[in-house]
Amino acid sequence: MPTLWNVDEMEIVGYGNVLSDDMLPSVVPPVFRLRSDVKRALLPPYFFNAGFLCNATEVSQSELQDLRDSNEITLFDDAFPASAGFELWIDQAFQRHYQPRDEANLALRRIAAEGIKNAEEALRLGNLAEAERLSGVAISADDTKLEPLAIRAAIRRIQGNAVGESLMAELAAPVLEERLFKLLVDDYRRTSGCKEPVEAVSSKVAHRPMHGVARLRSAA
Amino acid sequence: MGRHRWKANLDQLCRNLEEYGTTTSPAGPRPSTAGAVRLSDSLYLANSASDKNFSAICASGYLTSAALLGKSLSPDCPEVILETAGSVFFYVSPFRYPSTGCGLLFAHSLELHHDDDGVATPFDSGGLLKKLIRRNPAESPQEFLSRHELPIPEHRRYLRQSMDTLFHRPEDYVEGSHPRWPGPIGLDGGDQRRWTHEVRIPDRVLVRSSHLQAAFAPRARVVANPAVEGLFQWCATEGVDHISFDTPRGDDFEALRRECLAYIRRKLY
Repeated sequence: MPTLWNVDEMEIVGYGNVLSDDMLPSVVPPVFRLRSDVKRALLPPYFFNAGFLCNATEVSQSELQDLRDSNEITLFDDAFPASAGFELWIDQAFQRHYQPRDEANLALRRIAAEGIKNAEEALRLGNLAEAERLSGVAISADDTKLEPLAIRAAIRRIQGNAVGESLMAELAAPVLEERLFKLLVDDYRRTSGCKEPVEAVSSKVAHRPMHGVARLRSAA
Repeated sequence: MGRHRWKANLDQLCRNLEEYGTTTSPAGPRPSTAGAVRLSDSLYLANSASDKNFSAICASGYLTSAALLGKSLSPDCPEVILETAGSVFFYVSPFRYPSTGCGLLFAHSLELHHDDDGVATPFDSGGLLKKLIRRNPAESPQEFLSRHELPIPEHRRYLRQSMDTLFHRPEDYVEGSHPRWPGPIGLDGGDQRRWTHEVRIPDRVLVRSSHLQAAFAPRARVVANPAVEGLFQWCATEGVDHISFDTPRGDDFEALRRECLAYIRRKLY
């Protein structure tokens, strides 16, 4: 029988992740504490059922601080009341939002749509760094969107990074067949402001001192 | 403390488990089953991290101990009390460290590479000071830990024996289903980490190596974070498995755990 806590009797003190600015916006799982005993905190993983929090891991105040110091959770400077059916998300300025799930989803979808539109424009103008950043915002806001993957793939093609391009196709594969994804990338490439291939700002795989070693499995 | 002592610990623990099996099972000790042999020999070493820590791991190319990172740890932190802050930690299981969203699996060959300086315990050492209850409170956590440190990769002998003796079926250890019998070690409380084998390797572990079995990260992180994308590109180039997944409602750990378990079932069952 899982342990249950009434969400309306708790408050939120942080979230169970640590994010950098290129991971925002992001929905995050709250770290709760009991209003009646603020020394008792509840960590993810957990699930919700009819306004109750189920199967959370209970930790002490000192453990919370250890986890924060280890960069495993983020704690807010203050606490605020929890509500059933609400979603916690962090925007690009690291500001927190806590609102009904439908409203949160709508806000995130808007950010994703705007990010895609602006990334497309940046790509059209040949500003690859900005197109890359904005496509990251869009996929962080809504990871079901395919356009950010196609924009990234087009950028990698422009940079001559075939591995990077095919990685994006691979990420899109569960929802869009390769041929259609390629058409989308072709379209972005055609409308981009870069007519010639350009070198990536920092290629992560250009220098591979360990190239091939992963294929050399130990005999044991 | 070294391999000689760790081997003696292993022999003693295996004897204790055999006796325990004799007394708890009317049929007496059972021979190793094929499932236990296969899983105990091949289970991967798992290390998971928060998104920001994982990005730093991908960027540096190393899993690095808290001590080597120069982290300031509080005096009552388990790693300080148990003097394990100089280690990189792995579970010999799917990812089981909560509040993490990304992770790496390493092949068991990593243990062979560190058979002189790596060590294992048949439980999560950090839990000794937090969630786990020792039945003999007179023994200090340090002494308890010392008695249960086992050589790698030989600790897998005890893992195989416990899969057969304590669990309904060997796969239950991987799935995270609690054992039928608590076993002779004398720990209660906590979660699955009470009986999950931990491997500690000193200082740091190279990520982009022949030992890397698979990398796991949410799709959005692979796209949006250059360091994570870089690791996934390397994996694609080198033929290393790389798994990306959706994280509905930000429930990263549950998605990570589910994907890892599915991967292990595909590869090892």
